[in-house]
Amino acid sequence: MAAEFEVQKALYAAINGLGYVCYDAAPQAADGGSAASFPYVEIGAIVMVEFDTAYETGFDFVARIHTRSRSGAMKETKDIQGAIYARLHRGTLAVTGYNTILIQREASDVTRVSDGSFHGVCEYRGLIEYAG
Amino acid sequence: MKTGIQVTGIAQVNQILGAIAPKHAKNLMRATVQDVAKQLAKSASQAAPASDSGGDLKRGIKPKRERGDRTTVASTVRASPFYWRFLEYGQGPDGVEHAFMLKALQEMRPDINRVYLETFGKKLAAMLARERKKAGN
Repeated sequence: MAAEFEVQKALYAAINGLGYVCYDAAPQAADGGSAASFPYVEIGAIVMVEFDTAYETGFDFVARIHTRSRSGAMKETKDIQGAIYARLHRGTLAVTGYNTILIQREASDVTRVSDGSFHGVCEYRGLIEYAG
Repeated sequence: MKTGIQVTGIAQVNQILGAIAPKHAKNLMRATVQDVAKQLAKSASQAAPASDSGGDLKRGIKPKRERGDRTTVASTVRASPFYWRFLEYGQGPDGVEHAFMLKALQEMRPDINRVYLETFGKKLAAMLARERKKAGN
């Protein structure tokens, strides 16, 4: 299976294991609004580039983890981001077919969206090498 | 949100240059870092979305020379239209996370040493040519 999918699957499993609702793409209601149950976590863009050496092949990736909350304050979003940080930052990520060399958070931010909800974005950088 | 690439090994180059020609060394490093930022901005600009009528975002992504400090030179890549972040993170009207900045950064990351050395060589050659011309040779 593609490394992109395996990374996404591993992130999904890790975040879901924390007890948060996690989506690949948040469901949309018929009127165009959100049909997702807030708060939720969405796995966003995963940009991968080759991380090959003479003897190994692998990938260097950055994955965006979006956190969305309709709570009255930023705290809920930050709490979720904190829990994900505690789980992933310099932790382990079980990517099928690959050994995880590194996963660490590189950036984190929370902004207020025009509909009054909060949107948190964290970027996690990872290095994986082919285990075969 | 700020993220970036750190290039190691420059410290030694800077140290040698700093010992023999401190002013030139700093100018050279500043020009090199600015040129790397320019290449990153160009790449981000190519990946940025544009409406049929516009292109403000594509045109608005530019490198900016930062102040740095006594031992550091710095440049950033900035997008002038305020809505860049909505499109970057998927809060725009289309709801699509375009991630053009992230893509440009990731594209450059594995090649950063090559990009840096090539740019450094180019800038060094240009500086030496300028100095030769100034000296009348």
